[in-house]
Amino acid sequence: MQIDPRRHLPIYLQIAEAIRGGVAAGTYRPGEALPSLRELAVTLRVNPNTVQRAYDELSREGIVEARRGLGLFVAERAPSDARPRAVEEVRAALERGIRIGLAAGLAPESIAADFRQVLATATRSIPSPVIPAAPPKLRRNPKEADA
Amino acid sequence: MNATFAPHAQVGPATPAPAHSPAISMHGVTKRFGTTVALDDISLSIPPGSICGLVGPNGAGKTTLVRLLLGLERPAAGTIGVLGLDPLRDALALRERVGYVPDTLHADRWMTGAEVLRFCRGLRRHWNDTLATRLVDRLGIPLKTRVGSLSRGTLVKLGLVAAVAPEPELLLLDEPMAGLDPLAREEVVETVIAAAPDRPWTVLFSSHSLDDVQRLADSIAVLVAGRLVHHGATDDLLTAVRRVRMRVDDALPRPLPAGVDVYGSQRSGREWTLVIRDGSGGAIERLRGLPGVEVLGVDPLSLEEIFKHMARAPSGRNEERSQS
Amino acid sequence: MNGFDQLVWREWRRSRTMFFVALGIIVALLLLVFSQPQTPPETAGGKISVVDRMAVVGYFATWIAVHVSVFLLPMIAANSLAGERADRSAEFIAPLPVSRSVRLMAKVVLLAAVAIALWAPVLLVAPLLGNSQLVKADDYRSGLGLLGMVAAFTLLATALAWLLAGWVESPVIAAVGAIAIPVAVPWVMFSLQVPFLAPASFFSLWFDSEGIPQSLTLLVAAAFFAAGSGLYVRRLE
Repeated sequence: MQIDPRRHLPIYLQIAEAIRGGVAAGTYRPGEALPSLRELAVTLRVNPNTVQRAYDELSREGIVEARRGLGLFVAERAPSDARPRAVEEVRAALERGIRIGLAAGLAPESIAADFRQVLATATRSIPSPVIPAAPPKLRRNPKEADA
Repeated sequence: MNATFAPHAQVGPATPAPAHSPAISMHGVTKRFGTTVALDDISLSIPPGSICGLVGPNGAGKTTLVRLLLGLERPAAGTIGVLGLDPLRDALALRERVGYVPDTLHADRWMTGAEVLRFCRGLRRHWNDTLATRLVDRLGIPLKTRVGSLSRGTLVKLGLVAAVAPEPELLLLDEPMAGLDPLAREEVVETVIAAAPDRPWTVLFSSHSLDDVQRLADSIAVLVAGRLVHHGATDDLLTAVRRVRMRVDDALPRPLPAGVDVYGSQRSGREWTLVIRDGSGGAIERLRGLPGVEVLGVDPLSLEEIFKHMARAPSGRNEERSQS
Repeated sequence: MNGFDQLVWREWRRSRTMFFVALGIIVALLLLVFSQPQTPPETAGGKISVVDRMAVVGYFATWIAVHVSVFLLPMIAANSLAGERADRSAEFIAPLPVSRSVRLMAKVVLLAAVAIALWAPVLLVAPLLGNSQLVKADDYRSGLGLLGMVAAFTLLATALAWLLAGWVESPVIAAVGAIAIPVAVPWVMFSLQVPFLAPASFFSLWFDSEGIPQSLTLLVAAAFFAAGSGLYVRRLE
């Protein structure tokens, strides 16, 4: 996982985004534990409070849940819950880009062609957005069968 | 845990007053050196358990502010409370609980690293030997080399160990990252994060590196020419300040509508770029609503760009710079 | 007191070189003295006992040591207070939890230890000399008296160095000033023939039974010392 301070997105949202992506991509399975606050803060070299905020955000969204005394785990619910939100984000980003293009005077056809090209390039190489999952630290819920 | 504090300049939604007494509290602090005013009417409150980044151009007064907190300078006016103590009256009790990393460690040049640590350890009541050893190993500090022969990066690391090993409640760092190579920088940042004790400590660090500030700081305090021009949550600042690109047919109506506070503006023919203080709360809509104005785009800014604008126009006065 | 040993250790390390150089000078001068053919006991003739031989060596050694201390002690004092400002090592200690009074005490301890190291041997050698056949009783008493005056002068110069070093930042200026001023003062008074105060000779102001009484010298020294200490402790740094 890379945190880029130069990106204009606040860091805690970047972290949340990366974990969300990991859950959606299946790199983080339901029932697996997230790294502890301090571990992740040290790995990413960010303020532990920031990690806390990211975890709070994900808890609010229901993507992760707290288990008393054990820490935070990926929620049992299907990752497909992340989809409606992803759809929203995609639409918003597209709309923003299209408005900029139209304001610049680009023709809709040219914009559509660019979109297809970008999509093709992106699907060729899906970056893995997840934290290098240190296997010993991720504990599986013993009751859960392999998903 | 939410870091709550009273920002100097309101950015974004108002935040409630701190629940616990602040780790650092300054009211109306002014410091003069002869006729020069180093700090002018500074009021700042930093809650315990948070990390605050102090930024500002050279000579803005960052080092002076830190020295005031340690009781190494006497303010001309105002009151200072650090961990509930007066830095001048209770200097000794305070310094037991505070760790200070200066930008240059001026330990006697003939002392070896080991002697420096032993010296500091002797003068303090509390010292965590295990932590000190762990940090020395992790940072790769050569303990048998004399201070005079150490590189700047190693010197900073040594100062960091000396400040962190006593497990202080407050850690003050004065430009710790300046002049360090990227690897050393990373190590310093990691150490500050990893050394955080289980009972939360407060950190105030001044830095030129806004990347580091963005990573580490819960809140940012901006000093320009001795005045505190901003103090607020890092994330709030990033989500509030916006660059608005507009096409203006004739002239931009003056004064601008209420609530549109501008850090700076640029003009190139019909295209205007305004950097506004708070893009939430309807300011952009108000601009959109102006006659003969079309908003072409609204972009966020990096912390570095925001800081540059603050440094140039600290009072938020509308400035115009015409091009072409 | 927390870490007092560390403070004294640091003061010792900072003064160590000067101390050993002074020791080297004492030894060198001693060798020089004994290389002269006129030096007793060779000219005394007859049998010289071992004790007497030791007494003679001791006499010269302690005499040289006390005179070397005139320069060494002010230098150590000046370096102690001003040196740490000049090399900024005071900035390293300032944020640490130790009071300036305690830091000052460590400096006094080191200075006193060096003074004792250079002067105490006189107390060991004096009885040997007192019982020796080589030295006349009058010479012995006036010799000790002179050493006493030199020691008093040294205390004055050291205390003046203490005061100057609390005030200026350069240890060199403080040390030179501390030794030069008590020498320059009688010189000026002597040259100007200031009524009532002009000393009979250049050196007699401090080193004469007709000159300034030793008790006054020590009083002035104490005042300088107190002022210098006050300056140091009141500084915030």
